[in-house]
Amino acid sequence: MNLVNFKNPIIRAFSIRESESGYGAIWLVVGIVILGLLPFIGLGLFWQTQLVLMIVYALIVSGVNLTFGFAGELALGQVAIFAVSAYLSAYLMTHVVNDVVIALLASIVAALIIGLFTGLPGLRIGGWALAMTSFFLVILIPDVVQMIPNITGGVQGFDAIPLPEIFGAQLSISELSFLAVAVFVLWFVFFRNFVLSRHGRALKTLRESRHLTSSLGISVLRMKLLAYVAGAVPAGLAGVLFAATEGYVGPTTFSFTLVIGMIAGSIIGGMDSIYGAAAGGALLEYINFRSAAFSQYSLVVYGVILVLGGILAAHGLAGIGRSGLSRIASALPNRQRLDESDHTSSPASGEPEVVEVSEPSAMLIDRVINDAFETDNDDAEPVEHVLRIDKVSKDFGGVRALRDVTLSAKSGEITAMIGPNGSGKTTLLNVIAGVYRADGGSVTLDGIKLPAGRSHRCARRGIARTFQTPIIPRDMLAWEVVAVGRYQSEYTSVAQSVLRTPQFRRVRSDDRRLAIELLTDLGLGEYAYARAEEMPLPHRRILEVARAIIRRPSVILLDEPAAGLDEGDLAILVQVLRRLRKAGVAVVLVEHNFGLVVELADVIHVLNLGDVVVSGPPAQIQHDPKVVSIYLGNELAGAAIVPNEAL
Amino acid sequence: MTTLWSGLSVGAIFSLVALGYNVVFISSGIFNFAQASLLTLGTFFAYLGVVTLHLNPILTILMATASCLVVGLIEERVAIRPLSGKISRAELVTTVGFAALIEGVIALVWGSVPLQVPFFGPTRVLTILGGRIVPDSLILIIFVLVLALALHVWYKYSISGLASIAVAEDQVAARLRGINVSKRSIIAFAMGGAIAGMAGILVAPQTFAVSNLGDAVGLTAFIAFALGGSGSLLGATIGGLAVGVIEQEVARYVGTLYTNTILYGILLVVLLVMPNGLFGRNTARAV
Repeated sequence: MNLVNFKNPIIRAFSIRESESGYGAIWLVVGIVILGLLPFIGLGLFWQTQLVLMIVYALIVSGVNLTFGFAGELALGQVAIFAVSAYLSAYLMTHVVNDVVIALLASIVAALIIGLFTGLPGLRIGGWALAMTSFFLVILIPDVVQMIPNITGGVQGFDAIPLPEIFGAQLSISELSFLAVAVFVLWFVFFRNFVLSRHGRALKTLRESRHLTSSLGISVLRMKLLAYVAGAVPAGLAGVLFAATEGYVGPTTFSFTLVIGMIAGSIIGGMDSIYGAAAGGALLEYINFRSAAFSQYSLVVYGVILVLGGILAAHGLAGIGRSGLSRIASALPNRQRLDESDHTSSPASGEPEVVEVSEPSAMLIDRVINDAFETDNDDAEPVEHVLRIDKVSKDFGGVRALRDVTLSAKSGEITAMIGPNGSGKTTLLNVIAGVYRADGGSVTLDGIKLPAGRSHRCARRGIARTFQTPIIPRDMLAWEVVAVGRYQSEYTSVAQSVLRTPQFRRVRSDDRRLAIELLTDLGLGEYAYARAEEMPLPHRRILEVARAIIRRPSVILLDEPAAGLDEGDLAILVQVLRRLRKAGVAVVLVEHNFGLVVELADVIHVLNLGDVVVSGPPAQIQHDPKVVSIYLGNELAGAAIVPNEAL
Repeated sequence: MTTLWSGLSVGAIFSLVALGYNVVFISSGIFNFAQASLLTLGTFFAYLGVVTLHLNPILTILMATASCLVVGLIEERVAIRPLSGKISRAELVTTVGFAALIEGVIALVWGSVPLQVPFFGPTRVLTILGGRIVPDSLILIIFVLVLALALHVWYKYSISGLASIAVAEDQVAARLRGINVSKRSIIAFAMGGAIAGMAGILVAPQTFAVSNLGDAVGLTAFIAFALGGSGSLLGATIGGLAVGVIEQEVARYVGTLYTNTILYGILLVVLLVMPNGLFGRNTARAV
């Protein structure tokens, strides 16, 4: 059971799968890093240089991990950024001002600009195409270097870069290696705090699905740019350290081999890990060094190491480390939960009790939903919301999915849409949510038009939704999946998140408290710390409902929320929908479970082949001959016997 | 016109490698970085057959084809199959590793000095449409076109080829239809190797047999592959030829320093306008 692992302090300290609560561990990590690296400095010039090079690689690899591993964006321009930064600092230190601090700052700025620039095509192309274009940026480096030989030194490269100074004092190689360790530690603290924050969760959400991301009101564009830019910074820092240590920058350094090495380091170290990047970088420098020593066998050795490394580390060194740690951890006696003070207590033993959920207490749900809704407006006078769909049409290449559909949904009502598969129900939800732009007609909320085809802006207007196939990001705990719903409405800046300011801490604990309370009330409290993607389908559906509710929407669109739910889960769902209605949310429900719809809905719209065939209260729809003929065919329509269970 | 011909003959090599990329990509979704190294190996087997063993061309082709086919199979067994079932990008690393392995072994066996492989046919320079071209280049271009056509027919009309397309479309659905997905992958790697081996005797007279041939060709062929659209045989063929022609024309009229930059610019523009490449298919996706 996963629950066991997450309670163990050792796992908490090292596993990024764990929530951010183990922040105390950061000092442990920093300590280990410094203690581990200092001996190198004592070993003389050669090892000091090796140390800096290891750090250089680790920095580059961590950039790949951030952009590719966490955000899923295949922007691999790190080597090009590394090159520009190395040349820039070589130029600065030789010709302008020899100060390593200025060089570092300039490189960060340069990396931000180039990261943005090289990432831009990704806003349009993404996926493989982005990987190719950013990957192959490296083949241009030798050519560009020769195009501007005055600045770059051409083929010969930049040699005789002076030893760097800091505020006028010259740095020796050993002092430089201290500086490198400092940069390294600072970057990894930043990296860790960034990834283990609300931003990291939003990035993982982006990695899973851009539709999901924008349905939560998060701008996909902004998130992608954030990923490109954040992944560029360490490559920029690496460039400065490289130029300062080697004293030489030439075009041959930035080879295709380095690009491959960077990806190999990332994959072998574990792409979605933080500290794996350091291991991957170090391994890479070791490979370089050892295979050079083998001279004529070097390519063969390099090849064998890559093949073996790739196979052994299909889950990455970090994965091996993690599973090793969990084995050690499970051998240790189980400790009490660390975060007991944080939220409602639960059994401290490894085996969670099975809680009977069939008869949920209405009061509990009441409290959470009120809790979720009252944060902003204390006076619980619910605002009336009206969602109006007016003559909406949508074609898919000649297939008419929606034809002049007109209907509305109001606060305090559950509006259901039923109809056979292909009748246009989900298409209509997608039009409302801004995933599709309607070909004709308009959708208004409270009299103001919703931005067509701009789903994150529709979401910010108060539209929340679930998906027919639940979209649950990988590598996240259940409560985290729910908490992402609050990313946009309770925004904390990157700086606040990385520095862990009081405001960030407050929002973070609210995130967790609300998510867990909501899950508890939806019957999933005991699974709040389970890995969300591994949960069974009904639970993933409920998770989606929770993620929608936590956004405190005016309109909630539910796409077949009951499909696959057992009776206990269904009872909870019914309760929740009723509470939502009472809280003044306009609930739009697409559902095949006719019994459920009849029981819950205030109005039912029956769709068939893109048309609204009939609309009315359940009692009327239940006996409408047209509905019967749609579902059962014309022969039976005359009989008009519609037992609820039959549909 | 001479520049055009030389562009086409260089481009034919890119097309050849890009076709090999595609054959593997279609059946397994894997980008085989070692494809260009397999071609390098093919040129060395051509050297072995023609120069060292004095075999006749047919025997040389058979030997090279069979050998590279086996190496392709070994690659699948060693670098791909152990990864199956794992969700990772580890094949990016293992195929590169295998490429390095091939190159390393070649360098150990044959050294790193370029070896000349004479063409088995006539060597008199031809003048066609006002441009000059050597016969081996012309035959190479024709070979690539015939190969692309043959692959197209195979994918379109044979059960085996259709099964591969089905795998490319949806692995799970193909498996449910009773298609042996891992067998498709094995066949694809064997075919990739065979194509490289077969072409070795035609490529070697152009490029010499040199151990790091793969580095130079592989990258540019990647651009051809991306330009034409991943998974498209037509795209790979035209993409490769176009890249070759652009490269030669730019080298002649602008300067070799600018070939890569201009190729890259073209790739970027094409991908921005058509994210799936010139002939790649667009797959609609929604929720």
